[in-house]
Amino acid sequence: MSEQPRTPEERMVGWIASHQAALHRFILSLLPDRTLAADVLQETNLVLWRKAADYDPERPFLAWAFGVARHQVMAARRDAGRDRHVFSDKLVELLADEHPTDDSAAQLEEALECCLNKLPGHQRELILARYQPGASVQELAQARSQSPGALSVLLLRIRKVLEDCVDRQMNPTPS
Amino acid sequence: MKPDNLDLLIQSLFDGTLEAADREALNRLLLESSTARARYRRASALHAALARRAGCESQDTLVSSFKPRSPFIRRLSAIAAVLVLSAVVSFFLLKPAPRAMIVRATGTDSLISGQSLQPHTQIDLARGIIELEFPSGAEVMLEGPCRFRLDQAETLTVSHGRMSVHAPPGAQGFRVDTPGGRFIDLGTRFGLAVGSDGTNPVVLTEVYEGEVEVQSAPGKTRLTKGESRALIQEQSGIQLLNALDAEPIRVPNLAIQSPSAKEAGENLALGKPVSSPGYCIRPHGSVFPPENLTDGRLDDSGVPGDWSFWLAPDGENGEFTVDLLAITRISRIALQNTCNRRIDDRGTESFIVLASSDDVHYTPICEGELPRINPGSAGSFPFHDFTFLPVETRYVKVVVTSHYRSPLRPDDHPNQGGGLNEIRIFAE
Repeated sequence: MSEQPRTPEERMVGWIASHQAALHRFILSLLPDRTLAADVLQETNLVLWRKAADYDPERPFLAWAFGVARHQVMAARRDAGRDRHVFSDKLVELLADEHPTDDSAAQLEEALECCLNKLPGHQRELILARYQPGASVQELAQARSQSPGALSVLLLRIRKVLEDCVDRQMNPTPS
Repeated sequence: MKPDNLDLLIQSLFDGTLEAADREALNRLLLESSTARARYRRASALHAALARRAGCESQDTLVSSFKPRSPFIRRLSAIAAVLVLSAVVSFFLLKPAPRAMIVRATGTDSLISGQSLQPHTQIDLARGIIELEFPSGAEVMLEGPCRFRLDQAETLTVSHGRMSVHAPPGAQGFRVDTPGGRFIDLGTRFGLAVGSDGTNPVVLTEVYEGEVEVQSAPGKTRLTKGESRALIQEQSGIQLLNALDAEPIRVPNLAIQSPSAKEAGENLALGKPVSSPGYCIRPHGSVFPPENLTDGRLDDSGVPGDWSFWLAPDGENGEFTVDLLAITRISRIALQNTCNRRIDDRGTESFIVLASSDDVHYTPICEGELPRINPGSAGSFPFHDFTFLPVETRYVKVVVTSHYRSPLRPDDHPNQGGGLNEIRIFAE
């Protein structure tokens, strides 16, 4: 009566779906361009799915998936041309090598939710507006009659508060 | 800690204001020190989580991922999407565009028609029915009690409640995220009931028209018209079942249900405590306690763990007692029968009503019969009135004397018994 996944592809869909946050985080850290990173995530999903039959379920999924994602990042960097590169090849390799393969992404998203709720209203509104799809800091600064630099400093302050809060949420210190 | 140069560089990188000279400085700092790289990773993780939460990246559902497109088309559509989005965003600027609008509200407390709903906020609908419309044209009807959020574009995140979803052409890909899995509308009408067995989520779905894709731990499954499934969590993991506890899965379509006519006079039973010697308890949130009889919820509605109707224990006629909490003069009751969510295997056929002022000595006050509810009929279930000579009483006991059962099953099948959606009690 129950429908267990039958094929490696079906199983793979479940793994891919449950690791979207971790994959996105990995890709964006190597390719700090939101649109490009979103494209690479799509490509990576597709390749992972195609390679489902190659994957040995005994191996940790993320280590394997990061390998595939890394390849896709390199391919995208080749396609995008040098002028869009922020990081040097050497730095990308280094960041990819050091990226932890444990999946705390879901935990982070939960902690973030909690920390956003702790922010004062105007800070919360600002950081959410900043991350609305398509929003740019330039446009946002213009709308607030502020220089982009001044807005960046404000956003930096909020980001630091969130970072500290998220850290505390995820690693509570024993009292 | 006061922000240093690295913090500022990382922030400029995220904000798209990094100059060429800064770029070199950032590369140098990150290459030189693993501590700097760790700080960057920490900042980038938060950056990624914020971006995902806002929904841009989440539009890369697996469905669209699995449709290979040419790089040219992909780039073109990405550019178009960014242009449209920036137009929308610059229009609303600090006020993010609403993710959905209430186009109709019936019997609700605070949510009203014409109201737009803000993202990232938990919305509780205590009672009544609201109809939401999304920018794509997708329409969702939600029935209270219900709890939901609008976290991502063209997505409804529901933690509890029953709904009907309609995605007309152009709105395909609309999805509902539930604690058990994700339901992607591929151009269709379907029903969802998100409830719980007390510990774990239980999600029921039935497709009325078209096709739905279910994505959850067991993988992805496509369901077409007439198919239904239950997502449940067991020790072995999440399972997708096509029958629950040997009974078919049914999620009545909210869209064809009209709100019940308002009762004439004050319903003295509403919200009053009800007791019964026993009631039907089966796995996966299929529990039907007697307090459902006076909860004001009708028509076999609700979700696993929170249904609107009472069912007697398996194979029994059953009985229940409403406590009006004070000696009250009554002369009429109105009953709404159940057909156990269109499974059509339970319900009350005949009954007697007794009254008592001390819950010890009971006197019969009336008896009657209820017709079977036609599980195929559209709209809300009828109420049947039974009047009697006025009596002063505190306790009203209904004893079911015969019940309906599935005509397709043997006489001794355990899945049968008395049941009732609602009792209303009136003075006049």
